[in-house]
Amino acid sequence: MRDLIKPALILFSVTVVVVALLAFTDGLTAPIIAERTKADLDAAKKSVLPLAESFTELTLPQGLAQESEGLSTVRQAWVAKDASAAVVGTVVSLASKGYAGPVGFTVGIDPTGKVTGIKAGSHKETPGLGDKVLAPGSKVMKQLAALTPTAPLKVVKGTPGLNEVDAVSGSTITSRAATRAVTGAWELSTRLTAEGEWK
Amino acid sequence: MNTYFLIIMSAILVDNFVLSKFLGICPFLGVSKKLETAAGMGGAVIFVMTLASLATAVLYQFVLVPLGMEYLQTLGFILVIAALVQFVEIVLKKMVPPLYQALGIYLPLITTNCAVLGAALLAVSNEYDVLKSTVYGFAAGVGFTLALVLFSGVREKIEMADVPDALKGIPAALIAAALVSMSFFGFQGLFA
Amino acid sequence: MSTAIKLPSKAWSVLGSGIITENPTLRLVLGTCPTLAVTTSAVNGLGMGLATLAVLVASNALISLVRNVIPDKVRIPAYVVIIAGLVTIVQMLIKAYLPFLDAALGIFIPLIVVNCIILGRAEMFAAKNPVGLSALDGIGMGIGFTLALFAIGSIREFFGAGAWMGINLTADLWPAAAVLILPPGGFLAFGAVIGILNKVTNRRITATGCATCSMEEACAPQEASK
Repeated sequence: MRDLIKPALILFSVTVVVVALLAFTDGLTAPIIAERTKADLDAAKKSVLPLAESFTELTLPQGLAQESEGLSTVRQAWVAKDASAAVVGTVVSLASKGYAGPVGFTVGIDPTGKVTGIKAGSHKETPGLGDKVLAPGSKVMKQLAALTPTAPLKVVKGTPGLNEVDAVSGSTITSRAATRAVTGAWELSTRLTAEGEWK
Repeated sequence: MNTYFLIIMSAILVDNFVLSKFLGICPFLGVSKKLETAAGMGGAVIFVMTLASLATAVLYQFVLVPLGMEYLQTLGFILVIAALVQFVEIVLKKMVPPLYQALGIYLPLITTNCAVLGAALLAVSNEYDVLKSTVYGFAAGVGFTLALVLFSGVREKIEMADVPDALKGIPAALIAAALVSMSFFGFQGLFA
Repeated sequence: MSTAIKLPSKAWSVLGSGIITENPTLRLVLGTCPTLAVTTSAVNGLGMGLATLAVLVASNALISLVRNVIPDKVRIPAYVVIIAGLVTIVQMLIKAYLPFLDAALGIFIPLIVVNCIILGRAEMFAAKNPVGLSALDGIGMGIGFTLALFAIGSIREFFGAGAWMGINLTADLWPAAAVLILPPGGFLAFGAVIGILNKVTNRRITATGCATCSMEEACAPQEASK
């Protein structure tokens, strides 16, 4: 047993040194990473709600995620105001389950419930299939950006009716991910008053 | 229930660990020459991957996240996996010698198997809870075994075939793997 | 064992073997997981190669430095800890300064930790050689790996997307064989490159390195001349 102690101690010291080094590097890089994520997010927010000049984060009520499938994808939300501090809508950041894992979305909704913009974050959906669905000018994204939902959205194949989105065949899961995100964003906006307060 | 079904089916068929995600290639090319060895390796991998996914998920959720030290993921996970493999080897040797005879030699190879660490890391990035991570690890292991066993059948046939010298061995195996991978690609639309 | 030019000092031969005669990807067939997964484009292959090179050089150097201090019993766990630490540092740096690479390479950055090349070289070379030579071995193997990945990545990107280094070349002229960017294409491109190399150099690989890459054994090349 005794001849195990020295090796174990040496191994332990090596581990401690390595962990310390990692903590140090994390201290250096974590702020940089956080800052860039924030800058990317700010740019994304403005791109889905161009009229916005400033964003105030909303505190999400407990249990919001359990209320519906759409709302379960909501991660953060902001009330967007323009230069004259008038509320121009809500921007919601969501993570909706796609084919290869959660896909990040940023959706802008104006006070009338109309979608002002939608953008997909980085993802690993299948190249040529799912990832084509998420490209900005795609059939699905275009439909979503033009909608004013009045009920949770559904994905269908063929001509879409009210609150329906025509999917890209072969990429239904990815199409559903995007639609679920927009549903979530819309449902959240219905819970806010015109001044951006919780009802 | 539906989510679990989806997780299992994607890991095995649609997004197969070896043929689609390229995790676990080393043993895939090295151990798939004969059916028996492939099956043995596969069994060992399923066992270790399930336990490893469980252990790493627990480590992540209950130690790393509360301490705010998520960056220790890679280090922590690989140490857990290495320790687990050692532990499994010792336990098997003492408790189930016949199983140890069958699987024992493959165990050290499993530590450096990208699939084990890969499954653990993916479970974290997919934001799975402990139960889902364990199921995911199990399914990934089954997918790996499926690919391995199927491929060993293909390889046994290639050994008999007349392959040009330059392609003998690894290149032929890789090209055959391309075809098997392509056939699995047909599962892509399964849940569309 | 060495190439056509007789290289004088040990240092040069160490460097040369990693790049050519014992190229980790194309001769030793090690580190196959990233080779297949991240060579969807030339830039990705290059990025992965360089990240691995950085870890390889650092780990070889560090392990060589402490080789006399670490007792044999805990050799492997200690090496794993050092390598995992280095990989995590590289991952943090990439996340902070090269986010596009982080998005492209994904989990394959942390998976560098189980890349047989690194542990294999640590075991086989760094544990028994002085720091300078070990670092050179790391550089040689790293360059060999990077070149192989860059080559395969370029082939897949060119034939699979009609581009190279992100610049559209033939993409608008004729439809590219997209299968090359997808998983089957990875296997195909890799197999084809090794096959062509075998034909050109009149040698043939009979066994993979990683099949014998357990924690105790060193990853040894096995070749048979034609």
